[in-house]
Amino acid sequence: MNMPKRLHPLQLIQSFVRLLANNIVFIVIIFVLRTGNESTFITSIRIGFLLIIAVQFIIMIANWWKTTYVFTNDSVHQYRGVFKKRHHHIHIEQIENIQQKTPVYFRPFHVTSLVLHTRSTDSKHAITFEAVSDTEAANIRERIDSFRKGELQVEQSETFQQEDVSEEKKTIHYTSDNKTLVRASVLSLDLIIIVPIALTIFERMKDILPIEEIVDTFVAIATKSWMTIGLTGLLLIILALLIGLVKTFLTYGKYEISSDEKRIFIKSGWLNEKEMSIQKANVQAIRMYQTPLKKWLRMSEIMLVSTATDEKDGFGVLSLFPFLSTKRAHTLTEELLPQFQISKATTKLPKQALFMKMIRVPWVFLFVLAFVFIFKSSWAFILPVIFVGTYVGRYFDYRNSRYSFVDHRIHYYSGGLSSTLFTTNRKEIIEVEVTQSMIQQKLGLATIQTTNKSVPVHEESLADIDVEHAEQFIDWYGKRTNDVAKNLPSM
Amino acid sequence: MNTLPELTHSISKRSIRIWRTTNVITDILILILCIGLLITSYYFHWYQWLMITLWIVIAIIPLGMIWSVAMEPKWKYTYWIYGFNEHYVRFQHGRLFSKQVVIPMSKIQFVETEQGPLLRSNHVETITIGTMGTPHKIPMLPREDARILKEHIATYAQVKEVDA
Repeated sequence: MNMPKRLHPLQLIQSFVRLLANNIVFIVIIFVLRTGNESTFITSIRIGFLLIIAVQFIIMIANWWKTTYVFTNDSVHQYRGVFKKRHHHIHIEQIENIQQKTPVYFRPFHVTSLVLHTRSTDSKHAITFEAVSDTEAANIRERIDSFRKGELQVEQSETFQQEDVSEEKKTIHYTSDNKTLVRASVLSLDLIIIVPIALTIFERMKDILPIEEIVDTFVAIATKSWMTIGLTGLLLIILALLIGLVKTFLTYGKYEISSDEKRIFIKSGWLNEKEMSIQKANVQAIRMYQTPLKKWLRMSEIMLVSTATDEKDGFGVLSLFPFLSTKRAHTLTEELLPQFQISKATTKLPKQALFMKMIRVPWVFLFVLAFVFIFKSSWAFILPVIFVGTYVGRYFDYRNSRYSFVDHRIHYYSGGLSSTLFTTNRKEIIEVEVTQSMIQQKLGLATIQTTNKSVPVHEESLADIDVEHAEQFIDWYGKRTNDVAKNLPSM
Repeated sequence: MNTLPELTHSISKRSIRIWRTTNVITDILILILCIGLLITSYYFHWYQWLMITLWIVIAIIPLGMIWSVAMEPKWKYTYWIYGFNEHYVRFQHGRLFSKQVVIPMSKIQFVETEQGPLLRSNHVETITIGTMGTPHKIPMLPREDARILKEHIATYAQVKEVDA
């Protein structure tokens, strides 16, 4: 029997630093900005604040002291809580994913964090080790792996399988190189990320420095003439490129995709190392997405729709490396997940679909229109851009949309300026839907939708296909019973 | 082999009367509310545009009632059809916006019935079919039909699937 263990004390320091960081604005205000102020009011606030921090720190210590975990033969137990006790326990066989993250400040201490995810769709059912030493993390992984292996051997001896499946046989499928990363950073030309960063800095600084006037003057200069507007734009783009470069190297540097018989492993990160694995059997569908720029450069992002649960990884939709060449993306999915096959979908949308797409209400355009006329009439120049973008996008969506449902596979291709490819197998679809609006009925069109298991469920639809094909689609789904065998209940 | 159930069942004919009653009640309640607001707005001299909006709403409600009382309940009843067998539940509804859904039995997680006072006095029940995603409702089933469907789902939904 094992002794209950505690988390690494670094967890305590981490949460204390976090507590201070969360209150940084407040601390600056009451201790730095009001240094000269010795009024009783400010003093009492300071004392009160220090008291609260002290109490919280004591609670933290108690919490750390009371947070223990223990491994038994087949399960993990975690105990938390000083006043409200919580006992959390999961069976090792229920563990689906192990996620390991090493924040940069943990690294010098050889400490890391682990999350054990279960099959349950609720992320609360995961066990988190906020801080454990590297050796302990390796021990935990080892324990879970050896349990799995034991289970595997039992299964094998029961089914008399000939092949010896070794868990250690990992194949590396992809590693990122600098060239791809540089290209990727150009692609993530998110001008948008500057804005929130600038705004946050601005907001924080405003109270301390007379920065508002500086910014106002700057804005006045920048918007004075078309020249300065252009120059500012150029500067912003260069800034965005630089930020993009640093960001991509930090998040996608040292990216590695590998797999064994049962799982796919993703390792990434330059500073914050991140490692995660996903069971192949949990992948429900594959989605490949191209932004307009990526389409032009023939790159795709592979997304795996899975039952794995972690909010940080986008609620069950997990992105493999987002900057793969489309060709490589296709071969990689074949290597990793042979149960899915990506083939060319052939059926196009009927002619009426174009009409249908054109007469849909352009909501985005209308909202922008209303916004411009009510608040900012000087922004009217973006209206034609949005208008043309909307309708060109719709036209290409009509041209590019394709679908097929043959055997047990379904494929959708869609998208105007961006593009999406979606594929899944019939037995992974948990629900189908066919809808028709009044105009679609008149034109003989319908929208089909499939639902896959994920967190939350993943819905994928294709609008304006021939209504007869929509009926065939329902019939096709009716053959799902061929793909699954059932243990009928005894009646 | 296609193992879909046919869409042979319809919902209770009493649904027309029930929907009519609920719609009349809600419409009248909204009307009373609007008239009340209008009176208070005259009394307290609220904004002009608010009064105009209220007048418009008050004028629209009786017109809307032609739709919500005379037409909608009947259409809703006529176009609500469903079917089920040991493999699937399937239903279709709606005239202006039609929708057909197919759910495999093994993907159903729970069945629930609910009954308001109006439904109870008319001996009908609304069935909720819960899946991993949004739950679906089959409204206004005669009590006996609801019981059959519920028992059917309870029997077949526990079936575990294995790879073929």
